[in-house]
Amino acid sequence: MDNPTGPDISAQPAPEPSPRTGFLVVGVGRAGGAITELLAAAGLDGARFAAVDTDSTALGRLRRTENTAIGARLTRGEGCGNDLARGAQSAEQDIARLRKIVEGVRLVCIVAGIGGGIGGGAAAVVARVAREAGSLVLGIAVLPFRYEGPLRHSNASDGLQALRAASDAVICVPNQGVAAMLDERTLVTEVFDAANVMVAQSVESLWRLLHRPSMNPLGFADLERLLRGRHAESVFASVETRGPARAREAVEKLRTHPFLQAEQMLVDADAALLAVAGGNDLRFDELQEVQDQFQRLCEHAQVVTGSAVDPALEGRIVVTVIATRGGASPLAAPQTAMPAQTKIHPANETSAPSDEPPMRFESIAGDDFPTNRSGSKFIPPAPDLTDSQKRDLVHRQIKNKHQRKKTTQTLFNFEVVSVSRFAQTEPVKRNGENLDEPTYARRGVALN
Amino acid sequence: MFDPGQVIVGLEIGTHKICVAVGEAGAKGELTILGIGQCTSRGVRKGEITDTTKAAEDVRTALAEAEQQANVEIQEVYLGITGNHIRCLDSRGVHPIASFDRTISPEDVADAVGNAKQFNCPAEHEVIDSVRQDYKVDDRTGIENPVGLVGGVLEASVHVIQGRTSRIETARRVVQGMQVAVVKPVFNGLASALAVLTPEQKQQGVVLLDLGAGTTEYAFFHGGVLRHSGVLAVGGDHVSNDLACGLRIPIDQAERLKIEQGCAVYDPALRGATHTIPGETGLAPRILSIENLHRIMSLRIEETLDLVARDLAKSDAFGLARAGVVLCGGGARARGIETLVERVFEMPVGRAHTHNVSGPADVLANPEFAVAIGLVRYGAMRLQSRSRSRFDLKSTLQNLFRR
Repeated sequence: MDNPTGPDISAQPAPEPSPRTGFLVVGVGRAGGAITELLAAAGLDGARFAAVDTDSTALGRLRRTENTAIGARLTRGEGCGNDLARGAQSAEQDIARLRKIVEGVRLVCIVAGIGGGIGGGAAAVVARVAREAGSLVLGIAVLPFRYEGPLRHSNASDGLQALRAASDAVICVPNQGVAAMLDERTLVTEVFDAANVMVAQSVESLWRLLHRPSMNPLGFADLERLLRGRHAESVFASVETRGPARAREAVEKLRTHPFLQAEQMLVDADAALLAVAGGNDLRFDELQEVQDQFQRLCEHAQVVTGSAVDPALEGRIVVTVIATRGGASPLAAPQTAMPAQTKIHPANETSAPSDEPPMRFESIAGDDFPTNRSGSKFIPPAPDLTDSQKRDLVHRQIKNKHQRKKTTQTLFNFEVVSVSRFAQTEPVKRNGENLDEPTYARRGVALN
Repeated sequence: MFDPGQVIVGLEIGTHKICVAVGEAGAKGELTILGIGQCTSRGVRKGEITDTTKAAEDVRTALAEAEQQANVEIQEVYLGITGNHIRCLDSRGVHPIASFDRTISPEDVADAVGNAKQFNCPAEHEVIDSVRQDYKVDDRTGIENPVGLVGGVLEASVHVIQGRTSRIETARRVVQGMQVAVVKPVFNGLASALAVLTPEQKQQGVVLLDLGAGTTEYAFFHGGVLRHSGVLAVGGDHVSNDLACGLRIPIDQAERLKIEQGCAVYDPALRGATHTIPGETGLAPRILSIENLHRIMSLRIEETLDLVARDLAKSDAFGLARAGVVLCGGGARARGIETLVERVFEMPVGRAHTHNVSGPADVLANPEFAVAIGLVRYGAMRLQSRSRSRFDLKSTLQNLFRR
């Protein structure tokens, strides 16, 4: 039988690459920078690496990344001293430079140690900028170790909330989990290195997932579908095994993976993405086994499976899991530092046609780039106005913005803690803490 | 003279309740609880009396109830003492054996113990109890009874429990105001240990944890002797206060909620679970997050246990307590407390049962009465040892904790 479609398909030219195919990893703060450096050393092709920090010395140590120092006026090239507001302000100051980094990238992956001032404060701003520029934003928040103290933990919970509000999806990486996995006598430096390597491996596997040729590919679209709008918790884990029983071992490793909180996250997951990659020797039954076992682990989840063959993985199998739990509706999280619905910025000379007015809405600029994004609340429909009307509106907005800034009420950064029941008694003090005050308040545990 | 049918009364002025136990000691030291009197306590915070008038009223009520139930007239009581002011420490006393044949005599032992009690006690403190631990002859340690051994130097170690004189005196005055004499103040932690720990447990090594409303007492026994004890003035009241602050509810509601809905371990599976509390005085009903409730509660209890564990670790309790942890006090009723204690102490955990006591079953099974019953046991043992060593008045107490 003659099949007229056959030759047509083979004759079709390779699809035109869309203008946004880039994969950008932005490391924010010291930890983020270190992880990005590791990734850059691994050399993922087609990916770009950038580091953002206020600390110019720390930035100077990163040799493989595009480094951007921010907040030079505010911090004079020092760190933020664990102050989230300072980190956010530094990023706001240099927002134009941040915009330049994320320009025209399809997927921005923001890696930040969320307990620090820069990681917790600036990461959300970078995410917002990238999202405004039309990228899909994936935040990878590295939570502090337990020993780092209550301040960093409360920073982490605030920073995480801001990052969640600003990005499409956030994946938490609990450092303490890494520590639990290692031998208890491990040196400090080794623990830190292991944590960084683990995050780097996860990001690398994500990149592989998206860029390697595969039989049933998982693309941006799958990732988007899984993560879009789910401001709930997502976890991310990647394991690598070799040997004859590699398929079974891979699932076993996943079950005990520290990022998955000993499979608890899988049990609770309501959607998951499973990507299996192997060398040319990847067998079908292995694929089948991983999928079966995995589906058994997360019974309630809707699992999307993809597989890929990478000749470099000869003899090995790499299984990557992204699982999310919690409702699909975005959390009613507090707004980030600056609500930005219709932000105004000077026209970008390189991309703007010459007949455009000098000032314009970003939403119009957004239309210049073809994008798959749909229904984002950050891009309102372009108003149909004449030039003079536009200018009027711009002026009014600037005025409004100015007024809004003025009336911002500052809050004192302390909480009234009640010891009322014990007010008449001698306080019980241990290790410099007044034990009569509620424990959750002393530890800075946020009650949602 | 020791009367086999003598009535012994223990009085605990607790933070949550005042408890009186009336008991009778038989000729062989067996104990029968005749009656229990209790009353909700109002004038006590963190184990110490803050309002003497209210405390006196409550003590009177409790004593009256106990008198009625046991059908006796209470004349003297053993008074339980606790609070932040209690200090527990080990003291050692050395005595050279001067006799011709270098054989250790009972007098040498008494002298060594006497020396051990000569330690630097702050002026405002007084010794509540000193409990003999063990002896060392030259370089042999862990000797239970050195009399008759031959050696050059005898060293006695004593566990001393001291408290602030003014606080003890306040409690004593409250009781004496009711024409009831105080035979002796006794540390609550010691009393509850006497009530619930068996000699086998003490020999193997055991930690007693009394989770009270105002205070948490602990005692560690090993090799049959008291190795370490102490008190942390944090208890169930703190849990209620934390809940009241964190959930923004009145303290009495927090107390009720803690008992009805509380759990000592935080279970992430309960995320999103809620509990509705009825509105009071015309307010709308409120919906509270069970997750927050459990989290606040578990944070506080875990911190308390952590602090106790840290103190116990100083006396190597974790290596030696093979019989595990025994829980008593109202906190032992909390849901999930055993799991949490097991996690913090990494030892088997059990709830306390009074041993070698007869009486109403519901009283004996109740972990909250351990202190009061222990006070009765203390009294019984004191009387017994007094009758036995009538001629050696110096060592009245010393043999108490040897069994």
